[in-house]
Formats: sequence, structure tokens, C-alpha cells
Amino acid sequence: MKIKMKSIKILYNSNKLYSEISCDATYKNECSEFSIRLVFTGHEQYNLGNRSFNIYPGNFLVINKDTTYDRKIYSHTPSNTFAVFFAPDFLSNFHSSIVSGDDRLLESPSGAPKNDPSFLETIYPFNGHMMCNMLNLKNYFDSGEINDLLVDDYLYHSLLLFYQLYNQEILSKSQKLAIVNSRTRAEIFKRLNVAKDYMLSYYNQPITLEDISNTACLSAPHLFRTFKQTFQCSPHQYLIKIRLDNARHLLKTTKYSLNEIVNMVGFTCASTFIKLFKKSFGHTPQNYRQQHPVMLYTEMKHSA
Amino acid sequence: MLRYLPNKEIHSLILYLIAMQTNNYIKSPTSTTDKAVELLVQALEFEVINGEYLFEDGKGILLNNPHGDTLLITQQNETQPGKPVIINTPDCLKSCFQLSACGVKIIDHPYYTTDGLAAELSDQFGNRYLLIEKRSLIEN
Repeated sequence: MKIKMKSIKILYNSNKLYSEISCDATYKNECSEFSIRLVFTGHEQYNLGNRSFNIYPGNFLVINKDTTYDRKIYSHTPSNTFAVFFAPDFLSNFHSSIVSGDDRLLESPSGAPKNDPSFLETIYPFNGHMMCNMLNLKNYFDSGEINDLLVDDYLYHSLLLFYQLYNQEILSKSQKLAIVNSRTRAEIFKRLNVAKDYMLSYYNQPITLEDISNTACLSAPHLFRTFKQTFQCSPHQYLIKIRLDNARHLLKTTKYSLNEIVNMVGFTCASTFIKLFKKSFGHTPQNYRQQHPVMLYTEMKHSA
Repeated sequence: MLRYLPNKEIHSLILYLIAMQTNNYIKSPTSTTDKAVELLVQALEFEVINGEYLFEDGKGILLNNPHGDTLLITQQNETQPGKPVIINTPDCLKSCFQLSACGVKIIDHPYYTTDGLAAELSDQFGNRYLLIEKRSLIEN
């Protein structure tokens, strides 16, 4: 039986919350306000122009206002996705309150020149405070009794944390590239993010450095050198880290056997996986699972 | 100070001692005690364990919540600001919003720490509440 459930809440200020549980759903040519896209279980595929993203738990995608995209959910087990849409006024007021100083805000309280901020449409890590706040918001949304002003608080904090993350993931990392010309630096950084997104989207498939460099339109040595400058590790090390993080997530949230998990995250050899897992997290996968009893999504909702 | 302690369950006695030991008690004038209890029950998931402790000035009401906090409300007509009472919550933003909607003043708006999210509030009698949402941030 295919499960399909959608809930939408439009708030007084046009901010919007959207939750969907589905095994099979396709949406073409969607276009909306700035939004944050999350997946709690399963995965969702997005196509933005010629770029394709697979979003899994542990990551989120941002889509700017007026970007046209297709999205698709297709999985054996139901995928639970969640999206937060920020109304242009809410976002631009937040943006001007962050970028303008207090003195300027006093001079023009209606907000200095309002402009629609736009962000790099790439995959961001979903962890730390951002994850906790979003889980709280999702639990509150699922409870059904929604106070618009409290949702404003959640959204304000989400933006605050997203701006911090943007500084850390985009602005600081782009500065690490040893390239003097700022336009060239921005272009290479953009391509490196294409490479990173490709690995995050297809980590469970056998991908090579050549595949990554072709997707990012950078030669393999150039990609290798600039990737290391920006992300402090080689593309291969980055891919291993993604696979291990996903394996850890599966160990914690599913009952799949170890061998199944090894295949699901793209490793070909179980013993290599166990060795790498132990090196990274200090425990063997079996020990890790013993110490962290499987927490299903329905349980995670109440314990978050 | 304590004149009479009813011979109730040992459990409630232990919780009472914990509340006294950890200074987790708030003061409320007799006329508004019921309102204070209602606030804690509705906004912060507290449950009344024992409402019959008797003090020189009035009643003492013992409450606890599912997050391990024990709190004693004492009826006193003259209240003075003391140390903040620490209350754990699974959602600091929500608890803060609910308390603030009931007229409790926010002193420190929710702020991020390495352990989670915290906020400080103060009610009309000068009792201060430190709301803490513990988050395990290391692994994720």
C-alpha cells in the first residue's frame, strides 16, 4: 500500500510549512519563495536547471525565490520530507536587521533598502542547533495546534542559524582558496560545490574522481588541489566521510543488517568499512549499534 | 520553618528534600498561588506531587516534571528576588513563548550555548526561571 500524506500551513505573514510522507510523487516546474528543504527519512531528488541533487537525512537544500525546480520522491519505504518557505518580506526584514547596524535601523525603522537576499543553492549539513530547532518545529507542526507567532520565533532562529552556517560553509571556505582574482575564486568555489553536491547526492554509487571532475567542469588535478584548499581533505576522503556518516545514521535509525548498510552506503568491502568506521568513530559498527539502540523515526519525534 | 509534614509517600518526601537542597523553590503570595501552579502545569509540563505542606506563612506545593526537575512553591507575602530556578525543557523556544504569553517577563531571550539553548525569565514576584534545553551536539 502506498502511503501519501501532505500537510501545509500558511501563516498570517505568508510564511509556509509543508510536510509530506510519500513513496512515489513527482512535481514539475515548481517555483516559490526562498525555502529550506529537509528529509527526515528516505530521500528526495531535486532538479534545478541542469543540476541534480539527492537530499538525504543529515543534509538540507536551499532554493532561492523564483528558481524553477522539479522534485521527485521515489522509494520503497515512505520518505518524510519537510520544507519551510520564507515570505519575501520576512526574509528581507531579517536580512536588513542582520546586515544593517542599529544606528541605521533607528534612522529608517521600516528597514533600510529592502532587497531579496539570495544564497548559493547547494547542499548544507543538517546538524547541531539547526537540526534541533527544525526537529522541534516539525514536532510542533505535527502536534496540529499552531500559534503563528511561535512559528515566527522558530523561523527567526532558523534563519539566524542558517546565516551562521552560510558564513561558515560558504563565505569562510571560499576565502580559503588561494586565488587572487575574486571573480575566478567565486567561479571555482561554485564548481567545487557542484563536486561536493555530486558526492553528497550519489555517494551510494561507485563514483570516481573523473566522474566528479567532469560534473564540476574542473580538471582532475585542479579539482584535487582546490578541493583540498577549501574543504581541508581530498575528494576521496570527503566521499568516505559521507559514506561513514550515512552508515552511522542508518545504524542508529534502522534495523538493516551490517552487510546491507555496507552496500547501501556504497562500500564494496565490509572489512574495509569496519576498519574505516572504527578509525573515524572509535567503535566498531557492531559496538556502535549496541550502544545506540535503534531509534525509529516515530520514536525520534517524541525524544527530540 | 516546617511545622508539619504529612505522612505521605516517601517518594514525595525525597523530592521535597531535593527541592530544598537544590534551592529549587519559588515564592508566591497566597492569593496567586493557584495561578502560579496553573502556569507551571500548563506551560512547563509540571505535575503537583503534594500540595499540603504547611509552613508558617502558608502552604507549600511540591511539583515535578518528566525532565527530572522538582520545584517547591511556598506561599509568602513578602517576596524577594533570589537565585533563578533551573527548569529543563525539551523545547526552550516553545516554553519561553508560553511563559511569556502568560505574562512572565523575558530577561534573556533564548541564546545558544555549547550544551543547548537557554533563556531567563522573571515573574511579577521577582522569581527567576532559567529554562534550559539540553542538546547533544557532539555526535550530530
